[in-house]
Amino acid sequence: MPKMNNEKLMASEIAELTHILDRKHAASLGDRFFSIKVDSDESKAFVTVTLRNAQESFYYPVEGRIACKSQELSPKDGAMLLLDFIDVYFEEFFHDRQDTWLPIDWAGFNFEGFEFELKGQVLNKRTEELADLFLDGKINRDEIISALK
Amino acid sequence: MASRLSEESLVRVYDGGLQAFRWEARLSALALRSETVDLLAMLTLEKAQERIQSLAPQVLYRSLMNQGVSDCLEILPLMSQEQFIAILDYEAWADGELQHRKVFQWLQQFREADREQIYTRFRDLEEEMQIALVGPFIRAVDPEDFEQLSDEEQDRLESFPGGALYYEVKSEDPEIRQFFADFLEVTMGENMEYAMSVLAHAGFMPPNEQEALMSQFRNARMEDDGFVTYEESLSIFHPISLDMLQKKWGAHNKTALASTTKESFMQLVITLASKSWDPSTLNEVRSRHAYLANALCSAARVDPGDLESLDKALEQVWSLNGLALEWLASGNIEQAALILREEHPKTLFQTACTLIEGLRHKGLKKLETFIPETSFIRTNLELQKFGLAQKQMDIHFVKIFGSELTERLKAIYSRFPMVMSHTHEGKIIFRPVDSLDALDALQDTLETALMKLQLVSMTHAEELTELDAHIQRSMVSVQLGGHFINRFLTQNQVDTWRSMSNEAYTEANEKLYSGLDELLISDRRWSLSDNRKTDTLMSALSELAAGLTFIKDQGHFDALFNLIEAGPNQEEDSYAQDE
Repeated sequence: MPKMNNEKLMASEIAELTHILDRKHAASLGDRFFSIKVDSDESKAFVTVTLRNAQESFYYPVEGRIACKSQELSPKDGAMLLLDFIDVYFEEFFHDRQDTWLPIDWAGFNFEGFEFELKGQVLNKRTEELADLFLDGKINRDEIISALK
Repeated sequence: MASRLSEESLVRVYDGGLQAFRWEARLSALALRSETVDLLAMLTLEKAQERIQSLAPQVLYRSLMNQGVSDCLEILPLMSQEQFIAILDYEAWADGELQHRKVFQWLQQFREADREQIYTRFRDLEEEMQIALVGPFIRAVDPEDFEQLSDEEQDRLESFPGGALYYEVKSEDPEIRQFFADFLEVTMGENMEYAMSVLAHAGFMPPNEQEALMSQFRNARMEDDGFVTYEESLSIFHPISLDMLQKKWGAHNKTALASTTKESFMQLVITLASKSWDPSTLNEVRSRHAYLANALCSAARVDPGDLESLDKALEQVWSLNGLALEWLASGNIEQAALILREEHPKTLFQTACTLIEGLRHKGLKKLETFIPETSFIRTNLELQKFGLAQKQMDIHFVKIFGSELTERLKAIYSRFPMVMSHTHEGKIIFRPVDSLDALDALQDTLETALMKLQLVSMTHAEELTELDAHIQRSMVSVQLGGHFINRFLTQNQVDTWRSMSNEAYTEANEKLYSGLDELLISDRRWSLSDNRKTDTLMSALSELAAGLTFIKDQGHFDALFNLIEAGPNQEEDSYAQDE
């Protein structure tokens, strides 16, 4: 383990990691793609890897959080650990015909001797958005049907 | 900290060839996948256990995965130990390393089905496997050594009855700790002597030795299912001599179907075969293809338990064999069905690889005359190091060809070559080279790249960068009445070009086309075939010309291709004056 520091993931590194993630799973993605968001300070790292399509009718944010300082990890290493584990998860997700799920609320995991928490839930934001518009009386039933076609 | 999301991991993905591109499977609807059965329905039949145990392990495994193991718990106690070991061979190894957690998960599923099974299934594994599973997680201490330990250490250890042996679970992983708690609880209840013996043996054995032994046993068993070694797997991609086959089946490089149908050739052949063959023959052909797909797994870096990637390998096998059939049968479906029945899938696969390799090799040789760095790419491709070759394409090709054409070239030089099918939301979707039509598309892509290089070489460019912009600037030069030379334009020239009337612009374009057409046709160094039509050339030129027209109409000169970027020639006279 290198000497602990407060190094964080740079935006360019996040872009490169997103590219690698997209490429690693390209054949299984269909019209979906990955995005990565990292938020960290010296004590903790919070990572969200979202698999989604452009319409957001498939929207799957996998969130992870890790206490870095108490486990002697830099924020960057903490975020990378979460990203690595989330990559393992997505590998399994695709291998198992997209039928491997995470708890919808925070749950503890252990990877390479470190402890952290993850959660994830597939959403259909497109439908949710249409439902909101419908409930607000801004669109009718036919418009929903035609929007979902 | 080494990351899984590293450049090295990307090279590995490229190397496998199945995962790094978005591609569509066109044959999956033909039920060409490996056989599966309805296990739950089987339970209701007489002699269910006998039936289940008669299933080939891969069929049983696929069926369990399809229906979900947790929904098929009643099946587990009925399977034979050989079937269970085969399933572990498929699923509990990754990159040659035993995945202990996977085995523990399976054993836990057995426990859920029938409590005692966690013990019996474990006990009936090979001894080496038992030790390999327990060894890394158990520390065993005999009573003499126990006395030498500090109180704190003694407190951490669990004891067998009477203090005959002490042990601790070394892992902090709750899943592993739970497995040992459940396993030892049942095993101690069933057979105390065995429980002690396995822990004592495992605790004192040198680490990894048993796993290495197990890996050898497993490899030997896997070969029975077609999962051959890496070297053997690589050898399947080697080109073969096609003379004998060509003579045997009267192949000539023509097809009547390529331009008339959107269905893949293999689809048509299978449709005919399913109507005219007896089902067992078709099943036999399917099994042989599945066996071949298994044999490719090692080269494609697919673990046998990764069913999705296995399906992709199978899709590639059927697709490439479709190309071979279409070529060997000269597009005749009846003849193709006959060949499919008679020839081994590996022969067909190697036929397709040979057809494609011929073009790929020619393409690289020609690319090398323009881009010297291509020689490194060629060397890696000859060694089947596709990952490194594609990495080098990323480095050397993108700045020359742009990202789209580079992607298309990379897909051609993939372990499983693919051609562009269409684009979707800005992303290229590829398809396997499953027909002569697709082989033509592969050749077109290579020729487009070569033609662009050749065009730029006519401008005597010292450096190859951004070919499209380079060619477009040279086009504007011709449209303004000058030579086909790449130079930055002055503001005056740009203004003249912008204000050209539609008639003058059309006339200038016609002159441009005919001039370039003549130049390129007279110099065929860019072409892979002496008999090609100029369609590729014209379509590539039209694309660039359309881009130019767009730029002219929209006025996005600077942003789109640096038409008037300051350059060494900006101060010189206009091209029209040169002319």
